[in-house]
Amino acid sequence: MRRVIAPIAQFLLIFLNPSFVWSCPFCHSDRATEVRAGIAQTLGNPALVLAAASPFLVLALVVIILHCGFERGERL
Amino acid sequence: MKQNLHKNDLRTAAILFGIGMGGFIDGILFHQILQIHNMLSNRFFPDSLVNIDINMFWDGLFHAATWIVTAVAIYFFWRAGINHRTVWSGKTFVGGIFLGWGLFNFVEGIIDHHILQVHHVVQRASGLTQLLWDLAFLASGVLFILIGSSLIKRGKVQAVTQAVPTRSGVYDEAELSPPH
Repeated sequence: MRRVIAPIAQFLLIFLNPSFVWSCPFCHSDRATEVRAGIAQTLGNPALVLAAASPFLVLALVVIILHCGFERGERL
Repeated sequence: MKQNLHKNDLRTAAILFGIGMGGFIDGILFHQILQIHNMLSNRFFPDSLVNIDINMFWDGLFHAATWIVTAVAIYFFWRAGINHRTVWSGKTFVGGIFLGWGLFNFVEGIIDHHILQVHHVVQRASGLTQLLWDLAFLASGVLFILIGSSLIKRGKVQAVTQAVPTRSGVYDEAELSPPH
């Protein structure tokens, strides 16, 4: 048991160590900063979020209507 | 009323599977393998690494939504499986998948490609070519809806003709199911 847990614990200590994660070269690159800003900008735009979600919202409505039997010759 | 709602579980599961499959085909084939468009490629044209990363994030949200639809489909499929009133019809199931896929192509095409224009089917195309690809996508949706609806109708006819009369003389779909 110890032979299994010890390497896993060692792995977690190395790779989940905040100092390792935050020293990642990509996280501190200009590109990553720009990407994070871009994503935050898009997520903060309600029109864009609604635009992306609207097909699924409409499809959900259609499926609910079909499931409730809203079609010719079939009533609840 | 509740029993009647549960009677539709197989069809609803199939429609949701169709929406999920349609979404995954769009996301995996068009967004990732062919890379002809991304979720926001008309707003953030993928010509820089930053724009590609932003589109990749939104493609991820799209895939997450598609995954949720498929998970709900599994739930309805499970519910159909444990319901003794379910009439197992291949035509209904395949028809439902076609109907769901068609609905996805049609609704997503109308909203994302034509009304909101967050992306087009072939983003790098322009003018008439871009419009023709968008219309072809819509046409595939209409075609799949027609195929799906037709198969579901044939599945219903099949279910009625296979149904056996009960003692009261009323056709009961429950008797089509194997005994539990």
